[in-house]
Amino acid sequence: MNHILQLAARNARRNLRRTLLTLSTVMVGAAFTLITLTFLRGVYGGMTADWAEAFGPVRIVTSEYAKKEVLQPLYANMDPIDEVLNQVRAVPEVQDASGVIRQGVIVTPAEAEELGDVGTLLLGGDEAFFTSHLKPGADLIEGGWFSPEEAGDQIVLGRRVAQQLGVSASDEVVLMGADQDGSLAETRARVMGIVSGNSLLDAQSFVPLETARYMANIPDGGLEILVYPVDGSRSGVVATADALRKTLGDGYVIEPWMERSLWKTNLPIMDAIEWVLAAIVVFLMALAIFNTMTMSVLERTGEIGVLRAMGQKKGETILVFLTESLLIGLTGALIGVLVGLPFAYWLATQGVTFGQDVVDEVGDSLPMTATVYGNISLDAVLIALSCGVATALIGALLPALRASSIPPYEAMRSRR
Amino acid sequence: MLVKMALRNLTRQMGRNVISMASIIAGTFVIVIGWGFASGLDENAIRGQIDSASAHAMVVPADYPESGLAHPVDDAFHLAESDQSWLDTKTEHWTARIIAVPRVIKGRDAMKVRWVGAAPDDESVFPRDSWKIEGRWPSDGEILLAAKPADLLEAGVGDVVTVEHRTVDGGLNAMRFTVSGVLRTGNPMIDNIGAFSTLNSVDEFLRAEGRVTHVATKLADRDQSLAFAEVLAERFEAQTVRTWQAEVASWLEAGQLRIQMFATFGFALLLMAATGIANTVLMAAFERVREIGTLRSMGLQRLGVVVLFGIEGALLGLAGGMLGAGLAGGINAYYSVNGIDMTALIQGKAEVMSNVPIAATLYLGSSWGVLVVAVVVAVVVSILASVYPALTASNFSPAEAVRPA
Amino acid sequence: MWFLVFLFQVAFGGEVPTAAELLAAMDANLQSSSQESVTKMVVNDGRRTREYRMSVVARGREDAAVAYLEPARDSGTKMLKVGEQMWIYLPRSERVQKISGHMMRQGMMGSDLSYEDMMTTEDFDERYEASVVGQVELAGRKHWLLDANAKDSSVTYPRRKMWIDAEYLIPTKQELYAVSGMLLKTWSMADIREIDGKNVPMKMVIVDELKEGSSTTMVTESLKFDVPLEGEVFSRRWLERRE
Repeated sequence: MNHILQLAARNARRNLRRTLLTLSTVMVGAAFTLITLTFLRGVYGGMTADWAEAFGPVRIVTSEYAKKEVLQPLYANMDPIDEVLNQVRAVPEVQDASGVIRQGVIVTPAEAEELGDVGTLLLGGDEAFFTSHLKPGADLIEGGWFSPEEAGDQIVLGRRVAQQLGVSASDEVVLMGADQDGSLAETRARVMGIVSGNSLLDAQSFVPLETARYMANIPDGGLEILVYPVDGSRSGVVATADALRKTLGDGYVIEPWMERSLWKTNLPIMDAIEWVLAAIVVFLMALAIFNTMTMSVLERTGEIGVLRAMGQKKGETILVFLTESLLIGLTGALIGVLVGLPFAYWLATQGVTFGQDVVDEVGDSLPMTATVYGNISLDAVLIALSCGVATALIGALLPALRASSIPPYEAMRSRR
Repeated sequence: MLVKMALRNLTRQMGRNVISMASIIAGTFVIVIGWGFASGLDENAIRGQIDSASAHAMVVPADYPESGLAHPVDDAFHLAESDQSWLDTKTEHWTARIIAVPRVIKGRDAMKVRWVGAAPDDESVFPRDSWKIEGRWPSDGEILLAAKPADLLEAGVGDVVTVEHRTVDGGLNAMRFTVSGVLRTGNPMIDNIGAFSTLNSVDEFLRAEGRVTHVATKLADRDQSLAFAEVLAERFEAQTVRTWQAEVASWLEAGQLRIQMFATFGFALLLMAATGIANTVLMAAFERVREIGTLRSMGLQRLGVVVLFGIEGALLGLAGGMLGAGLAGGINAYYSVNGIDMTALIQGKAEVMSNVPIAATLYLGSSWGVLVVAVVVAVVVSILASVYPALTASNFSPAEAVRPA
Repeated sequence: MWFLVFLFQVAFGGEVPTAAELLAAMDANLQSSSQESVTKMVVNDGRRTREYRMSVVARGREDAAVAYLEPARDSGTKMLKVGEQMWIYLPRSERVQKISGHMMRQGMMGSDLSYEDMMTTEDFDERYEASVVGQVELAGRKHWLLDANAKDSSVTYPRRKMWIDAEYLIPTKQELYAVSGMLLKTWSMADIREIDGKNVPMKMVIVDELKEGSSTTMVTESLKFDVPLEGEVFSRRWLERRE
């Protein structure tokens, strides 16, 4: 074995220029894989994390609500909600849970003569929800959050909503909506602050749960329960949902965020994009290695003949070539990861800025942020490395087989 | 003479050149196919919009709402016979629609839908080959409900629903319609809130007496729409004319992010492919140091060597590029006509992309321009990769170069 | 609401009236009267039932001022109708909103009675071509059956059928039809009592015939006629006044 390794290393070293070229291809490939994965995971990971935080890693709604969700059926609520909430909180997998109410309302600046046509999704939640789950992802660009000193209703507006209305912190707005019975619900609220985070957040408005309860006329209830599991990973979220299903029984629809309609289709598409990209990169890298190895075989036909004539076995010939490419692949991939890491790190810390315009255009279905940060993960590094090694093996296999099948006499004869 | 030599060199080293070419082919292939998909997705959205909502150019009542669920019928207009024959001569196809947003009621459930009254020739402008109808297209007195409304109202084929809306004059009307079918198009804008009946039925319901809200035209070439819109506007002075360009503009703008992403990935892949090409050609050139020496000793000037290698690289790049681009271009062209059926991918998942008009069939983009660009890129990369080693190699003195390795 | 009821209250003798006479008498009836009442409105949308209580002050059938008393979340909400115009005061927003456009077509407090339903009682004889079809029995009492067709196709309810109690001269039942002839809503009045020498129905039920299980009931809890009216009642100042 040692002897084969030596032979392979010598071969790789002997034609240094060619080896370096192959190495560079593998390197670029590995670096590209790492950077791409870091970027994609940053984009998707950021989006999914922001989304899950705002819409709940696990969400509990009534079956009726789940069925008619597109119509926003406020009447399909949980009222009273405390008992269910306590049941949910008692589940060991659950870290915390909040009851929230989401409803569409029309916002108008209080001093405006006519009612406007600026619509927003009004999100009412308890203090814990805002403190632990919303505030971390939202930047206050004006004013502050809710204050116990303020007398009347309070509201915090998303950046886009405030922009559309032309209001700023401490102004007053009028909210008009329909309660759960379709009756007119209205109130006046002081704009405590304006927040910005992602395209979703920017198009929403936030009120304390009490205000939302009044607007929806759900005195002691909520529309959704957002559950935050102790283990926030995909598998942890699924396990939590399963545990909740056992606890709560029928009448509720309990969904991990991955199963919500938005992600049910988008997640597989995202995963597919990741795989297709990786596959293209692997294919290109494999081709480059294949080239090098084939040339190496062609060129060394004579040498192989000598070795074979000296009694080297077929299997050994294959092994020498495979080892050589493995060495090249591994070294290339390692260097590639080392080269890629600073870029990945840069992506993760500086991010790519798309700008606020893009955020506004994305609209409010996905939480797009103005700057997208990459996400360096260990498995991205491992995937990049194994891509390099795998391609090295795949690319060298054919030429190695070919080399091993050259009969010694012919190989000797062809030597120039 | 140099070209001849280059050609001879190429044929002599067949094995190696085939391998080099494989890289070039793969590189150009990836570029062209990638572009095909990227532009195909945009194209898909445009076609989806044209085929399901905006046609090539449309006449609607003046001040008609641009978006959302507002489809007032108050300003529905008459289409004079002279206008009809005029449209016959000026357009490839045209059709008239009347669209309202009534309440559809079944039992205790009610919801608003976008109800299209479609003339018998509707399909000539708004094709429905890829639509899946459980049941059938409605006859007079029937309604075809899109998947979501049917689901929410728990209405199936043969059920009776009540439709309520005001007539064009303002009086309340309500009528019962039998559900002729449930429609799935893959286009969320239809699947979520759509409903169809015959133009006759909707006309009768709204007491429109021949008045319509949409005159949709299809031209021989969709790029004529802007020019034709001006002609239409002259003819229909009291109405507003809309083109598909205006309708997709906002969506295409929103595609900014997507385009940026595609550009980023496309560039990175190109870089990968270029490295592959350069790698192969470089390698081939380095191995021929001795050959260069021989040529030099035979009296070939440095420039000659460089030109010889350049020509070789160019030929290689040209052949590989044309093969790769040709192959990918062929695939693009095929699928730009035949389309890739994505129904399985988007079926029943309509609400996901509710603001994107996705058509069920993806047609890849196909253009000669991209093929030319891809081939040029292949040739340039190939020449650069060949000339560089030639330059260094030609520095060797003939004696050094011919010395046995 | 009260102006709906009084629109149709007439004082006739025993002879068969023509539709024009009937309508003219109806039209003339409330010109000078004023009344004050407390009404309970029960809205059932087929899913759940809600109760509202409101005080109503009306002058003729032109003007009305409504103040919601219950439930607590709606108390302070006021509505004012002066002639052809209507406003609503929203207490939490401290805002007066004119009701116009498509808002007119919405159900008041989510009920089956739209704001427009309250408005279109105006100019009944101008809007409808009516004829007395005959005399029929309804709930054991004699009724004139009046068939009214809209003169103009822009009228919301193209056709109404009214059963007018021959003795009380109150439309105990009314059917509202769509252009197609389909029944849209049924209004009925019951529990007729004599108050201040007038026969008055104390209960009114509005049923949405298109949507299963949907109905709105109005029950009059107290009623007084010819009350002295504050001049301020039918003004914007009254609307915005906090009580």
